[in-house]
Amino acid sequence: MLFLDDVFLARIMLFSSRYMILWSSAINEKYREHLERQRRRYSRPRDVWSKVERHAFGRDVGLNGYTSPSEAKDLVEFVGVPGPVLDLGSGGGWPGKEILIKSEQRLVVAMDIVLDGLQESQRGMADTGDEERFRCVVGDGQSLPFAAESFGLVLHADALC
Amino acid sequence: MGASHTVLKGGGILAGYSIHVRPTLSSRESINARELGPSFVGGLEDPGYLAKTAGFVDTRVMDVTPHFRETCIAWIEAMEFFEEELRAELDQSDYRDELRNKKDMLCGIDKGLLMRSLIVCKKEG
Ligand SMILES: C[S@@+](CC[C@H](N)C(=O)[O-])C[C@H]1O[C@@H](n2cnc3c(N)ncnc32)[C@H](O)[C@@H]1O
Repeated sequence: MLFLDDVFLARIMLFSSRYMILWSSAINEKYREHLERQRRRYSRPRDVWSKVERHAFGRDVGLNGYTSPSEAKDLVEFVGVPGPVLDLGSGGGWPGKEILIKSEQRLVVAMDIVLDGLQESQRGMADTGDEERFRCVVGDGQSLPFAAESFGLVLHADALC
Repeated sequence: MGASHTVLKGGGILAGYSIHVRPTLSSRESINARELGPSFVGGLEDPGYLAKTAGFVDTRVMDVTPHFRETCIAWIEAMEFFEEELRAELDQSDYRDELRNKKDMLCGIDKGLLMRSLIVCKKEG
């Protein structure tokens, strides 16, 4: 895991580290309420939420919004676009994980302002054989820490709202 | 969206779902829509407009509000079905707030204030 406060460094390190955290007190200030709410959410026991999701959508994907599994299928259709994939506002790794499974050989970067969800997604990826292609970046999606022209596909699942 | 445009390669695609205020609302309706809509991020602007402003081309915006409505209902029904277990696991206010957010969203859809779109657009090149 890398803690970086320098965007230039981050650009160099991204493709060699599985975890990157770009943090500042300004981010803490700007998103305070949101961060508190989301951290509470990820500290909840998963068991009962897992049942809720299965009941509602037939699958437990760690959904933290309204992008149902059937909607995610429409995003997965774009995996043919060449180049690395950025899943912005990835929450607990949805739908980034789905994209990773479907996009052989491609690097998938999940980015969110909340560390806890990304940790959950990393745990979900462990031992799948795909974890080497999965990177997590914690930081503000409004100022992306990546070099221009890095990705072939950028996905948002409710992160624009 | 501007930041996404920068990090995409030429010919790259941005695809995503967005909950937003129905365009053409009066300013009063718009305020009501924002109260009922998601609280996590402030902006609820029309995604087609945002894409164009960010420099994307070949923009397609598909209204997926009917499916969004079904998703809200599925969340609400499942939360009510597991109410006892959820209440046992969560703070009392947590359960109430989660459910209220989802019901507010449904109310915003039914009043024609909120909608959800799938947006797909391309960076030229
Ligand atoms: C409704 S949730 C959706 C999460 C996930 N994509 C899903 O569908 O389950 C929106 C996510 O966007 C993240 N987010 C909001 N604003 C952000 C920002 N400025 N930078 C990075 N992530 C952000 C939130 O922390 C949250 O995890």
